[in-house]
Amino acid sequence: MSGSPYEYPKVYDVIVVGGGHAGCEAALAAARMGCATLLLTINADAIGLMSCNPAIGGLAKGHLVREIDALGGEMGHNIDATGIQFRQLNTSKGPAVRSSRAQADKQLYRLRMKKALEATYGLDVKQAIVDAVVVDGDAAAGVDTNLDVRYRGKTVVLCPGTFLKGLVHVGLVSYPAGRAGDFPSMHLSDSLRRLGFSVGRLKTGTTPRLDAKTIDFSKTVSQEGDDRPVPFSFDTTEIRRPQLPCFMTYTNAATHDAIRSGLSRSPLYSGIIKGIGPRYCPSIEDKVVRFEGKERHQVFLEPEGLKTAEYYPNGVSTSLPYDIQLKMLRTIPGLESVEIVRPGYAIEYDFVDPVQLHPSLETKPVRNLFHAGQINGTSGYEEAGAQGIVAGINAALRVKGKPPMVLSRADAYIGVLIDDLTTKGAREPYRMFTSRAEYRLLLREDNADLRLSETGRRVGLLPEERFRRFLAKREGIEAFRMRLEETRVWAGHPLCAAVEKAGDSPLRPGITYAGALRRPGVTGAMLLACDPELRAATREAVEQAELSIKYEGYLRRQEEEAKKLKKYEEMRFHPAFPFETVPGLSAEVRDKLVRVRPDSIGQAQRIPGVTPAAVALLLVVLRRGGGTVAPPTPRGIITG
Amino acid sequence: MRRCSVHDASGEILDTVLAVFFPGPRSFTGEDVVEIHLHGNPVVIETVVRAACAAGAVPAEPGEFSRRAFHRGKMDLTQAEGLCDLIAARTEAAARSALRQMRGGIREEIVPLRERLLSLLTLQEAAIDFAEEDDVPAITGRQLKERVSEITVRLEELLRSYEAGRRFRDGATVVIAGVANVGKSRLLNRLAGEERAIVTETPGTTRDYLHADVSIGGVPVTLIDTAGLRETADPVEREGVRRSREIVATADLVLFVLDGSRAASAEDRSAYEEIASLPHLVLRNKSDLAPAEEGSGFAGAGKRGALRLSAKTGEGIGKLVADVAQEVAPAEGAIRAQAPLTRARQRLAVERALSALSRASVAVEEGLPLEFPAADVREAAGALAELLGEVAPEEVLDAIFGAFCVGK
Repeated sequence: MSGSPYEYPKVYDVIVVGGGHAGCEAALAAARMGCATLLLTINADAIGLMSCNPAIGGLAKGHLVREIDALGGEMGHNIDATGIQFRQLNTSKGPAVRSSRAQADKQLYRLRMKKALEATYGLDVKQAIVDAVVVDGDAAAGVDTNLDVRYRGKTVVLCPGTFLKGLVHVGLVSYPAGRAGDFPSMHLSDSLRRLGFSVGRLKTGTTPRLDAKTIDFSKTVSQEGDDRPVPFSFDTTEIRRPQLPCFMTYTNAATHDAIRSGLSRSPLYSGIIKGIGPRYCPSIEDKVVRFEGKERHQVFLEPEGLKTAEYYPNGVSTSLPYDIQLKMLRTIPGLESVEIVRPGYAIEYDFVDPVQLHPSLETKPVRNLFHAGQINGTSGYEEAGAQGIVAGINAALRVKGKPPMVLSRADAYIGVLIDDLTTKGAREPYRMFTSRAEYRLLLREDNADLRLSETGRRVGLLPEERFRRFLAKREGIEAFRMRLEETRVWAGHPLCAAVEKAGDSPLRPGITYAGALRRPGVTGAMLLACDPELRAATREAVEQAELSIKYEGYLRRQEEEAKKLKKYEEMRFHPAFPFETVPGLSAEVRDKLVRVRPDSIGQAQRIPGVTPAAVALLLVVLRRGGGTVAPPTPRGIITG
Repeated sequence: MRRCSVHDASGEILDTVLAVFFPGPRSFTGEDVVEIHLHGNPVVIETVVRAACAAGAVPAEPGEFSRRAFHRGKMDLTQAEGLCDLIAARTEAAARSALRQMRGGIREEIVPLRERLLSLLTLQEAAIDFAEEDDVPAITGRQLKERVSEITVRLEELLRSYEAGRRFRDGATVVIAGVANVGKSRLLNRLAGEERAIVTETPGTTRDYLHADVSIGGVPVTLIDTAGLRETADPVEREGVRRSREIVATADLVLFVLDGSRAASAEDRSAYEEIASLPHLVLRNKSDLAPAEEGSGFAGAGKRGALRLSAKTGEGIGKLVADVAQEVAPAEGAIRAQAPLTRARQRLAVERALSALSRASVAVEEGLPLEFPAADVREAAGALAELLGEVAPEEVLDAIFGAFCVGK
């Protein structure tokens, strides 16, 4: 910074740095909660841009989108308005692990998101490169840009994605960029280092983009979306946009030979890339090397939009040299004469160890500073958006002097995501899976609104009108369930015949609808077919009542487990709890505790390597008062 | 190990000793530990301990060394429990069983089972979370059930070992019952090998109960001599009889004693009826006297038939001890094959795992979607982790370490 900067006259409540999927949710949440909000982006044409896959959702990610929507976020609306192929995944499995996924029109998605920001009162969008966080005492107070402008803000939310010292690799060629085609942010992570943050390096990558007119789709298998697209947002009643197919093809031995021929010039295998890449989203060269025996890998050709010829070949993310990319692609059926519009590339970027965050996503070293998205070591738009909305809400709550919103592992996938990050850190880009959620049966896509609408309303983000509709829906579900519990089936009821026709043993006379529904062979659809009066209920009411009755035992057991979790979450450490000096801990365990500085016994239990014995010891110290006073009031846990 | 001398603060030599240094983390507690071996005189020991405390040392609390070892991950919860049992063991066999547990016997049983559950869970989770990948195999309901039932069989075996393990740890209660003056107290004394009860020829001398701790078949046995089971008007004696009945009801084995020198009376018969439903042996005492005529009546129906013996001369006592051992000692296999479960906590964890696995099987049979049996398998794995103390609620830890009664 040369001389003293120009100080922008307006003081913001919340300054969001970054206009990606985290930044957009953060800025919208803060502004919608009434905060004077500024969003700074390196490229105002790239707001809400899908830098990689032109799709939203997927297994476990669909859950995150629903949760963002239930809290009052934008991602669900945005994909519903711009999706070009909707599919329900895992439909052969149960309700808890079904997920939604949709292909987006990449350009429409970005433009609609930008418009949503621009249409929000109290939200300014400006193009700028942020070089440093301005700190006043131990608290963030604004940011400085590369044009010597200082924006003052009561809180700052950093969502810089892959831009922190971003370095793009294609073969042995590399150049600094935030993403291919955009400036990097070269100084911001240094500013964070100076503030005491531990900064590391991760890597991710993307596929080449292909020209549709050079693809022979007749050699591929087309995959259509669902006949009746299911929307993401609880607000959307129907998807009306035209739907496009995707196309499936496979790599083969020739592809793998071509890849191997280029490994010596691969930045991954020649040791140029130091950052750690995502295990769950490997590059094609990684797959070929690691799974040598596998004869072919699946490739989905996904349209990038209605008005572009570019296709995204899902499955062949690569940073091989340009010539090898071309050679490799042209061995794949349908791609024999393909032309590359943009080559695939890898990108290395700085991230900040997320154990330095509170579960509110406020940083521990600097008050009023929040981090969301890839800076916390995650990958994926949905993971980013989920953190963005939490950071935006909590920045706004801080400005209003209210306690933060903290979602627990039993409340939401968002809670699982943030707890994993803040407790375990990120050794590789973190992606959500349903198996990460131990209360998975409770955390379903279908009940995200039941879980989170009240929280969204309480923090002041979910609009009142929408909350009222939610309450009506919830009443409908409860009324329907009551009805099932109270209506009895006597001999001669059509349901008896239906059950016997299905080959089941006869129903006991006097059994309630609910009782009948607990039997494996009886479904909600059967009840509706047998009793026309039930058909007045909404689809959601039938679905929720059926789930809650049919899986009652399982749900109850998980609810009990969730209660135990809550008990341990409520045993809180004072921020100054002396982990360094607790007697009897091994040096190894002590180091881990000091690194994470858990907020609660519950969190301490989940730190890898912290033994139950150590936890028992912490409990003893905590009970004795531990040399510190417990916080006067529990930190504001707001649960759905 | 080093020979050296111990001084107090003023420099006076208190004793010449052997000092052994155990560097952490390979010591018992994982910390640096020094053991000082003194000459055995209690006065010397007292002086040295006092000097050490004056220099800042703190006496160990009960269970402190074990707790420290556990805290530093030197042993798991079952091993800590094993150590606790080893210290409290009352018989050689009980000590052997506890030692096996302390050396990781239960762990060796549980860890492989838990790994099998986790690998099963991995298959289930992969089929759920990577359903879109083309190379993830789907696990069929049949495969799932097969694996669940294999693990169930092993856990059930382990559960059966609980009875054996519990016997070694908690021992057995053997009650001597019968009407007054059939020689119960003398039998107790004979078995205990010393004069415990006052033996007289007046019925009802034993108003309360007396007991002796003995080792039979490696099992710590508490022998209890009850007041005669009979109706009486004497309030004190009546109280004794009432308490006798309570004790008899909780016995692992009842030794029902008849006076073999006389024919069984109506009183004998009604006393026998009270214990007939409990595990019992019938003894015809006083074989040193002329036997009553056989067939003159009642001889009880103990499952080994009535045993003739004389508490006075010792005749038949060897056979009685062998019979009692067969009744109360666990089968040989149960001790040899593995470290048996010894605690209710361990049993509950295994039972929890078993009921979760049985739910998983039912879920598969009923065609419930994959995530439901997966939740069951996860719960079963969690129960086994809890058994090892890898996730342990605070109450469990408190209970275990509170039970340590000596310094280790």
